[in-house]
Formats: sequence, structure tokens, C-alpha cells
Amino acid sequence: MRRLLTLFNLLMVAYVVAPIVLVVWMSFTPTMLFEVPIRSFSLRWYEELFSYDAFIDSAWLSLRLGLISALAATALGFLAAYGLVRGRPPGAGALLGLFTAPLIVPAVVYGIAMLQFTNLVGLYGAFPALVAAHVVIVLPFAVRTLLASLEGQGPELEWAAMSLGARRRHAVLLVTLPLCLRGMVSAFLFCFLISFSEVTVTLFMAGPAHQTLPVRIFNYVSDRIDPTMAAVSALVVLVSVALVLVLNRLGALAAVRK
Amino acid sequence: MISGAAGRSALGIRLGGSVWLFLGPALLLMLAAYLAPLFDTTIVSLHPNRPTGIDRDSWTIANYLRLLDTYYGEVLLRTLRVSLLITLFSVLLAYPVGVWLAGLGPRGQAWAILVYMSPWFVNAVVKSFGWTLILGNRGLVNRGLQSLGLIDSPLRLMLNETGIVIGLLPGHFLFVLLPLWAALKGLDGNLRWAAMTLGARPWQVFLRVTVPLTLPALLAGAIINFTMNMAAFAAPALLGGTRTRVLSFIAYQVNLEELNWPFGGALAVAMLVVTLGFVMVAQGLTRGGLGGGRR
Amino acid sequence: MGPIRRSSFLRLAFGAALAAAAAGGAAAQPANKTVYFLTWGGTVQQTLEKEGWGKKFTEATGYTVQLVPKATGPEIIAAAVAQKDNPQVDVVQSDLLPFLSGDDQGLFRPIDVKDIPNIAKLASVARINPNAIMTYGDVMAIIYNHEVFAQKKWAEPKAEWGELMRPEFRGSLVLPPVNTTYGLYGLITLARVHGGSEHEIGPGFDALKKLAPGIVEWPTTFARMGQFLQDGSAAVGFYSSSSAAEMARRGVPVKYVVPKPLFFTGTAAGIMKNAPNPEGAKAFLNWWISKEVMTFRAERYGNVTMNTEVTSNPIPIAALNEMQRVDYATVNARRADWIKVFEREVLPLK
Repeated sequence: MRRLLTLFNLLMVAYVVAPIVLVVWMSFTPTMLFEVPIRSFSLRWYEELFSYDAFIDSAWLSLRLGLISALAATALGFLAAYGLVRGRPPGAGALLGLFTAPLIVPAVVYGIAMLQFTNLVGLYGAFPALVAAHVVIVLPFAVRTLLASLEGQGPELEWAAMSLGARRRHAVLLVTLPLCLRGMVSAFLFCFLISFSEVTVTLFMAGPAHQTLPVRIFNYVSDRIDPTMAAVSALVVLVSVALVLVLNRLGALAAVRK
Repeated sequence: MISGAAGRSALGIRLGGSVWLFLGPALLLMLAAYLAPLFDTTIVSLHPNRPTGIDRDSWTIANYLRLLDTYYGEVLLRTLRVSLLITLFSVLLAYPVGVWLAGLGPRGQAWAILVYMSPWFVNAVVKSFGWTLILGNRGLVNRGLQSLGLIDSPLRLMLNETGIVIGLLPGHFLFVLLPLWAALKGLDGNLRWAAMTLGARPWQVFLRVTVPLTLPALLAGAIINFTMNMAAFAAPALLGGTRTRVLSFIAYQVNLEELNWPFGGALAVAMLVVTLGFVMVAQGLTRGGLGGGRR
Repeated sequence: MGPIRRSSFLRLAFGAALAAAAAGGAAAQPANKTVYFLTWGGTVQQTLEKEGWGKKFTEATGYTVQLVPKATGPEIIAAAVAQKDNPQVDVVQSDLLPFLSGDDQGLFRPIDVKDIPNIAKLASVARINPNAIMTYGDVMAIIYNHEVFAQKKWAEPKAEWGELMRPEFRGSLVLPPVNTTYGLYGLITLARVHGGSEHEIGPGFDALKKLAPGIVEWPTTFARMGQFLQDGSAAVGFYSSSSAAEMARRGVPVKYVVPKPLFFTGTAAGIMKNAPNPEGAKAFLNWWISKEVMTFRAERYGNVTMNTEVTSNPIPIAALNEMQRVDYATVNARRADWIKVFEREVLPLK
């Protein structure tokens, strides 16, 4: 039985990774054409990529956007999760529903809304608007991760600190926050990963000055197709795998999707 | 999730009114950068579109009436059909994968999850391109089958709904797998032992113990999976082709190519309503029909 | 609450929520040294970013050009319309047809010889109106995969539009859909070949309906069409001659013929009204239509450039007078209806 399952999973894994393997493989072709199998090995398209400023600029932009929105979302997410867990406000369920709504509302809908709304308020193409959208998109991941993290440790330690005379903000800063560190780092990395690969909402709302890496790839590919995009994808795969390995070490994956 | 935690927190020192200091920032962000835009789009969808732009002074439901056109009806039906199919396949495939995963050691689990996550590291467009190399008329599958002499003319594996389902499934599958995996790990091994010692066969244990206990997690994942299927547009555009458009792609065209925001807004609202409708039905199923839904 | 008050209220609320994010992340915009050029990626991207012309522009003028690429003409203009009230790009270039519809919406500002001296060197047909100039153009061509032709022992296509109707091409055709500029031109061409015109489009649709069941896919971009022609899942299509030539140069086994009557597809450019960098925009447009750049475009990409000093045009500008002229006003007025007919009556046929 177990053997049958293993066989099934091997097939499934092959199915899941097939297109990615092909793209990475193809990135090493020396020709302009897409062929698998490739005829010989070459790093031509990687050299091409690094001499191509637009992709590099976009990579930096995505990096900056990802860091800022992950940082902001982790901070907001921690505060919100703390408020939900320790404060038991009226309508806590509805609030959690609101914070995690971007998971349920189709991204296209939000993208359209942001396109129209940023135009209405005169913030179309503004970087802060893009940051705000990304924070909204990744907030559910931060809130869920940190909720799990805060629930995992009772309020007793914090309570103890406060009964010994600490103010709440000191108790939170010096007791709770360090205990949640693992959760914070997981939340941060998860948010970064999601922001870094977000394409739909960004495509709709980002102005011309802010073409993130995924949007740059989308625009590039819809107009011309050469193995540069395979090379850039291969590099993104590398970075993402590294990040997820860190996430995995922190045991974050299980916490998020409960 | 919340209720259990809040019960415990009652032991601690209550936050009182200052709870809003903690919730405030996130709440403000969601109001200004989430609810306000969605609200605005709803408003815009009720205005007529003129050659000079949106006419914010008059009101109309014409944009919604236009959705009743058979063309959009077909697109909506196709989108729902494809989305539900992907969710169905994801749910069916999730148990064999989840059970196998849960049986691995911690390291094995980490690596396997990494592999199942991998579709998320590649841009949807690039991934679709990879699929084209596999599914096209001269793709790997067709060339392979032809050289084996199994088929004469190439199978049509893309530029239709089949292509969309094949291409979207691996990435969106993850959202069913992760919660199911977590639930399977959390399953009390003693329960299965107990059932086994009482003479139940493994498949009986699976059907009578494992499935009912993990069904809520599965459904929670299925909901997110379904939403993502409804929203995807880059992969369906490339793998489905021009003849097999889905709702989100039409919304993209209307908003970014035709620049008809009122009608684009109506499409967005329609999509939101249909998606949330399905989600509510699914949640209703979890709570009501399946009894064991509460954890 | 009126729209204006609501808008300012929202602006306030939104602004407040964004303050934190802005403090950390507001991108330092380079002070008006950058010219944003909204147009296609493709060969323009290649020219500016890979073939070194962007750097040459900087050396010549001190400005840098940042390309904002979109896939199709309508998308370029839609992107421009989206920022009409708050422009972020300076120079816009797209197919003539969508460009004119953008001009009708008041997107562009007048340009003249005083600001852009090189305009004096353009052929008179290139001065479309006070806001728009034609930079270069292409002729439409039938493109085919010659390996597939040899394999199936098909005769090479003659230089006639009627060739598309050849029965053996059923199941091997890729044509651009009517919601793209080239698809629209194709519809008009087919109408003309069958006795109609843009004023009487019926025969064009009849021809498309006949072709539709034999069409593998209606690709919206040339990159997509190229993919189908390259891997042999399709063998015949039509697009611009310069795209076809570029594709062949990359090693894809395609050849092309330019069918009579010639169909000229113009490319228009202009400057956004209230462009953030008007001086840079003038400098760029002047440089872009200069003899050096246009000679490169003509030689490298086979464009028919409008600069009369260019000696290497593949087709002399004088020949343009004999080419088919299109009543763009009629086409732009009918476009939406034609797309509707196409989506409902042609697209579902297979």
C-alpha cells in the first residue's frame, strides 16, 4: 500500500515540477529557439540577462517592495494578532475575516479596484499605493502565522511580568515579542515570498515607473519570447528555494494554512 | 481559532479599550486600501461609461444588464466549470499525497513540501510556456505518444479547457494540500490504532476515521483553491487560447484594453458575488451538512 | 456627497494610511533626467536596451530613456488613457489606428518643427495632424513555415491575399484576432479582396467565417504567433513584414511574401499632454526620428521610415501614395461593433 502511494507521489511530483524543469533546462540553450532537449550547454542567456539593466532594476524594485511590505505586514500583523488573541474585542471573528479577506476575494477584483481607486484619488502609479496594496495582499499570511504563534504561548508569562510591575508595553516588547520571534521571522519571509511573486494586482495598478520583476517578465514575454525569461525564472527559482528552506527550518509552513 | 484563545486570555490581564490601539493600524489600512477601493469599484460599476470617461453624475444598471448577454454567460459558465474541475481534482489528489507526506520523516516532509510548493517560484507566464513545450501539438507528450505509435494525429491538450485545468492544477493544488497535511499530522494516532484493534481494515479506518476528521481542513483548502482558480488569468490566457477565455481575462481586457471601467467594475463585482456565493455554500456544508465540521 | 468631496475625503483617508509606508519607501525619483517612452517591447526594446541605442541617446542629450513596454497598440493607448489626469510617461508610440483614437480623447499635445527640428525632414504623409507624426511603418505580409511546406509538398504562397483561402491550409492557420490592430487590418484587407471595404465590412466577415474552423489559434501578439509557427503546430499566418524578417533572422524556419495590394501599417508617435518631462520628451522624439536612428531601424528591422534622409528604406516613401489608404475615422468608429461581431460569430467557430 505504502509502495503504491510512493509511486503515485513520484508521478505527481513529476507532473508538478515538469514545466519548471523544462524552463530551467531550456535556459541553458545556446540558440534563440526553444528546444528541449537542448543541443549544447551555454550560459549565453545568463550573460544576456546581467547585461540587461531593466531586469536588474526590476529585481531591485521587487526586493525593496517585498522587504518594505513584509516588514509593514509583520508589524501590523503582530499588533492585530495580539489584539485579537489577548483583547477579545467584540466581533473578533469578523475582524479576522476582514484581515484574511484578500485570500478569498479574487486578486483580479482587487487589482481592478486598486487601478480605479488610485486613479480616483490621484495616486495612480505612486510607490506608496503599491506598497499599501502589497501589505494588504500579504497581511492574511502575517496575521495567520502570528495568531498561531501567539496562541501557542499563553499569556501567563506576560501576566507574570505585569504582576511584577512591568507596564504592558514593556511586557509585550520584552517578553511576548522575543517569544514570538520565530513566528515573526516566518511571517516576514512568507510575506516577502508572496509579495516578491505577486503579479496580478501589480499588473493592474502599478504605474510605468514600477515594473516589478514578475510584471517585467509578463510584459517581456507577451511581446517577445527568448530564453532570457527562462534564465531569469531559473534564478528566481533558486532564490525562492533558498527562502523556503529557511521557512521550512522555522516550521512555518504548517502554521499558515490551518 | 479565536474563541479558544480568547477563553485563555481571560485569565490574563484584559486589554480593555486599548485593544483598538493594537487593531487600529491594520484596520485603518484595510479600510483605506481595501474596503474603500472595492466600494469605489462598486460605485463606478453603477455609472455609465462615455467616450470622455466615467460619467459620475448619472446612475445606471446597464453595465449589469450587459452581463446577461449570452457571450458573458458562456464565459462565466466556462470559468465556473474549469474552476470547479480543478478544485475537484485537487481534492481527489490531496489524500494520497497528504497521507504519504504525513508518513514521511520530518526531513522528508520538508523536502516533499518544498517540491509541491515549487510551482509558486515560477512566474505563471513562464510556467505556461513550459506547459506549451509539453502539451503543444509538437510537444513532448504528443511526440512521445506518436513515436510509440499510440496515436496518429496529435491530441489537443491545450488551447482548450483541458489545457487550463492541466496548467493550473499543480500550483493551486498546494492550497488544498497544506491544510490537509497539517490536519493529518495533528490526527491522533491512537484513534486509528483503536479502530484497527477493533478489527477495522485500513481502508475502513481511512474512510470512517481519517476522512471525517480531516474534512473541514480539506474544505477550507478547497475554498481558497476555488477562489484562486476563479482569479487566475495569465495561465488560462496562454493555455486556453483566444477561443477559451475565462472571466478574469475578459475583466483584464475590458479594464486595461477597452478601458471601460464601469463595465470592468461590473465584471469585478459579478466575479466577487459568484465567488463569495460558492464560498458561503461550501462553508455552510462544513458547518451544517457534515456535522463533524466543528473542531 | 458630490464626487469631488468624496474624492478629497478618500484622498485624505488613503493618504493618512499610507504615510507610514511612504516614509520608508518613497522611491527617490530622478529629477527629470528620465524620459518615459510608452510603446511596444519587442524590437523597440531590443533597439534601446540591447543594441545600445538607449546609451547613445544619453550620450547625445544627457537624458536617459526608460521604456514602458506593452504588448499591443490598444494596450499602449489604454495605459496612456489610464494616466490621462496624472501622466507618468512622456512619449507615446503605437499603431496609427489606436493612436488616433487616443488623440480623439485629448491625450496628446501639439508638436512642431520649432521644438522638434527633425520633423522638417519627415515626408509630408508623416504629418498626420498637429499632435501626431508617423515615425515609420510596415507592410503586411503572409508568413509561412517553409519546412512544413516542404514536408507537405505545398506550393509556396503567391503574393496575393486570396492565398489564405487555400483549402490545404485548413488546420494550419494562425491569424491575429480582430481586437488587435493587425487583426483589424486583416479584416479590412479581406473585405477589400472580396469586393467590400471598411465601409462595407460584410465580405470581410464572410471570409473570416470561412477561415475560422481551420484556424489553430488567434494569437493576440506576434510573439505568440511566432511560437505556433516555430513549433510547427501552425504553418501560415499574416503580420508585418519586419516582424517576419526578424523572426527568420532568429532562426525560425519562416519565409514571407508581401501580397498585393500592399497594405501599409503606420506607426505614430506623440507627446503626452502635461508630460512630466516635456523637454526630455521633445529631445527624445527629435532623436528618435533622426537620420541615424531611422537608418538603423530601416536596415536592421526593415521598417519603412518616414525620414526622407534615410536612403536604405526597403520601400521608397513615394510608393506609399499608391498603397491602400484606410478611412481611419470610420474604422475607429466601428471598431467596437466589429469586435463584438467577431467574438460572437467568428471566434466560436471551430
